[in-house]
Amino acid sequence: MDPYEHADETERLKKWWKSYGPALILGIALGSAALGGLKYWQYHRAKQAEAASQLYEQLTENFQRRAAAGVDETGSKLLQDYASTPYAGKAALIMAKVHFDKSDIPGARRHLQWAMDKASETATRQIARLRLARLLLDQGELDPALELVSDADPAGFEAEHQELKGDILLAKGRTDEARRAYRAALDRLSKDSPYQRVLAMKLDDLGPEKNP
Amino acid sequence: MLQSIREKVEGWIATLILGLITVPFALWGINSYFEGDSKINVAEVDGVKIGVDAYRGSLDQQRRSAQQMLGKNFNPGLLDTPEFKTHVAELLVQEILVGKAARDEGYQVGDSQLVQMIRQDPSFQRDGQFSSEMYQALLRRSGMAPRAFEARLRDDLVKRQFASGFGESALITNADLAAIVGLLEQKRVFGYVTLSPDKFTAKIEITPAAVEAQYAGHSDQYTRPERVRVEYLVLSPAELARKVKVGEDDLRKAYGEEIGRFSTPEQRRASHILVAAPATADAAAQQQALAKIEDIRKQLMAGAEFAQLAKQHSEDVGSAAAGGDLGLIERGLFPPEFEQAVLALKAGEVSKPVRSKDGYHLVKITSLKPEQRKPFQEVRAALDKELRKRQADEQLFEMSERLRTLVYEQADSLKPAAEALGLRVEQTDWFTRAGGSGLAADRKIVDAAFDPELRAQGRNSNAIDLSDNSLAAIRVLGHEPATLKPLAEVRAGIEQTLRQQAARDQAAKAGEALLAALNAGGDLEALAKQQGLSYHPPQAYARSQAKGIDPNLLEAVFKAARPQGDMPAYGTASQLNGAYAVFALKRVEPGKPEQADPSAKQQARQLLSERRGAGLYGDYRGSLRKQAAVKINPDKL
Repeated sequence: MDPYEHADETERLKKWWKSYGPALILGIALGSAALGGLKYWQYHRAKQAEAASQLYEQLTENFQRRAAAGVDETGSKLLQDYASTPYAGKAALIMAKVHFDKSDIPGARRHLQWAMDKASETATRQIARLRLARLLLDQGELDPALELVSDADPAGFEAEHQELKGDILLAKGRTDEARRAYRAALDRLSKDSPYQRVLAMKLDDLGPEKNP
Repeated sequence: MLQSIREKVEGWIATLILGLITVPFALWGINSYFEGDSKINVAEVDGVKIGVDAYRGSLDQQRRSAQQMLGKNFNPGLLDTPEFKTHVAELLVQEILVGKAARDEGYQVGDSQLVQMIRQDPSFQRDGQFSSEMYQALLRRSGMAPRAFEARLRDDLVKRQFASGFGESALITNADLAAIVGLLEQKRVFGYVTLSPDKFTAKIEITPAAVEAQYAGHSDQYTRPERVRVEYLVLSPAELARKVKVGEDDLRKAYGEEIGRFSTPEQRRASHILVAAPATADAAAQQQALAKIEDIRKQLMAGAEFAQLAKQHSEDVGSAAAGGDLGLIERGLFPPEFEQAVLALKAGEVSKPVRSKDGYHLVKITSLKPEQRKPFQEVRAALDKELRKRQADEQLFEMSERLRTLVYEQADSLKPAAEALGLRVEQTDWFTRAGGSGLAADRKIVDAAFDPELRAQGRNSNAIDLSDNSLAAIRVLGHEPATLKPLAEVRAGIEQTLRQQAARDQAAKAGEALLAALNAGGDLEALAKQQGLSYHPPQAYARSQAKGIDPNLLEAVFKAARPQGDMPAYGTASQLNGAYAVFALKRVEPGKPEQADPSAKQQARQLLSERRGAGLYGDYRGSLRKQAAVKINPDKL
């Protein structure tokens, strides 16, 4: 090869480096930072979930021992620091139960509200909504209860959703609509559920539809 | 033409075709090209495949647990149905769906939590402490690598967490409970009359044409099903074991030879004190150690507490804190010189200094349970049973082979086989395809008995393996095809049925007429009197009341609309006994939760907590199943 040509080549390379080098280095740096960040974030999430999992086990253990204070302590930690994990939602459901059993209805409502708004798992949010509505029904707050169940997608809990709707409508004296809701609930309830009998009883008690 | 193809095949077309063929073979292998990979998969769930092995394992497990649960009533035929197999595949599908949903939702179990779980499991503990050896040994026995076991445990735990929280957090509100108790305990006050069809039967004429039409139209009802009668012989291991002769000498001999099984070996528990003096240490150090151990021994002789001194002086860190306790001494676990010393000691005795490669030991036997032997009389019965079984098993193979050969080679009678093997030929009653009693209840026997080929040739069946390891062979004695019974034989029965039907229809008609009269303002009691019907005056009935009232009538009353004002609500019901009832519902009395029967309350509470709690998890799983793309291959089950 011709030495002159070689020098020329080097010169060109240097020139190219001068104009593109910094951008290239910056690009590589940014890329690896992003990749590292992603990896770290995944790692962090996994650690977060693992820690929450352990706290949750503690909480259920406390719950089984009927140690309400212990449930509240671990539960609050889960709600505060691990809200993005599914364990927080479940903890809120269990805490609501603990407060309900102590006849602390506002406390139970607070935790159900939290689970309904913030739980990461759709099923948990749905269940919290249904339980909150039932609690409102029990408290005589019929309109807010009906509102909670009117426009929500019941996401797999159709039978429970329709039954609750029927209960609220019946309490409001809207018998015909209640009958329809009960019938829908009975349709959606698993055929081998022992609750079929109860639901059928609720429906039968409203009597046959009146012909106009 | 052919010539031109051949030329082209050798040229570029051949190359092209060969190239095209190579691609799929290279990617998927020749095997899957011909068989399709669905052959090895039982089901596919959202892209996850369930292999035959996993399915078989699960099927076996389900069968075993069914067998355990049902014990003697276990019928393997029931678990061979397509329904059961689909059920097992369905369970596997659900497992996979739950596992996937749990991971997607972010449930996770870390290593430290897993380790904690394993350490707390009592099956891996010895004396209340986690034992690594036991853990490894148990896993080895179940043929599972620790890694695989841990992965499975993690998976189980995640799934358990996913399923948790539903049941325990169920809220049962007062209104909810009161509504249901109110319904369960509700009472309805009503009076009624019944119209019996008997009153109408006398007036009903049944024409011969109607009888013939019924006979022709429902011939299946008047047909006797096909049935057979067979003779059989059975070679049963249990029967054989009873017949085998086991003498007193045999029992004594077996007891002597297998004494190890009837005795618990001697158990020695020992403690020790170690003064370390490794073999590499110099003479002065050795001397010093020996002096120290002699000194400790003197203290012991003077009455000092062994455990106390072990705590103070022993250089075996593992045991010092426990007062030198080594637990039960198993053979081969300790150096031979140490073991010898242990074996030579009496209970409570302290040894002279023992030299091992670690240094000098003083050993004390803290407890000694001598070898225990069960006396002959105590094990005699069990041993007798066992020997019988062993001998029977030895003979069984040979006898089975002879049975198989004899029933096949001398196919026109079961007698030769029976005589050669000392068995009896017995006979069944007539039975249909649904099976009979005793041997005729076995599906395989029924299938053989109805095998048309066997019947036509008048041969013995092949030897048939039964579920309890017995071996049977049958021979058809008689066969009756399905036969339509002659009209003369069934005429009276048909007339009776038709008459009853007509009478019921007339009773219903009369009942509906009565209902119309009531709705037009009539009074039930007055109308009953007028028509000569027996009237049941109003009374309060509970929903669950079973006595003295027809269930159909009760159900109709509890489904009826409520009475408006003073006007009762009227309705009708077809009773189970064929009579037609007309009722007048006067009043509905709701159940009062505070006065309810405690057991009713308890029942309501249970139903509710299931529905508002764990039942919701069932619904959740059901919806996962509905959303998933699941393909089960029924022909692979």
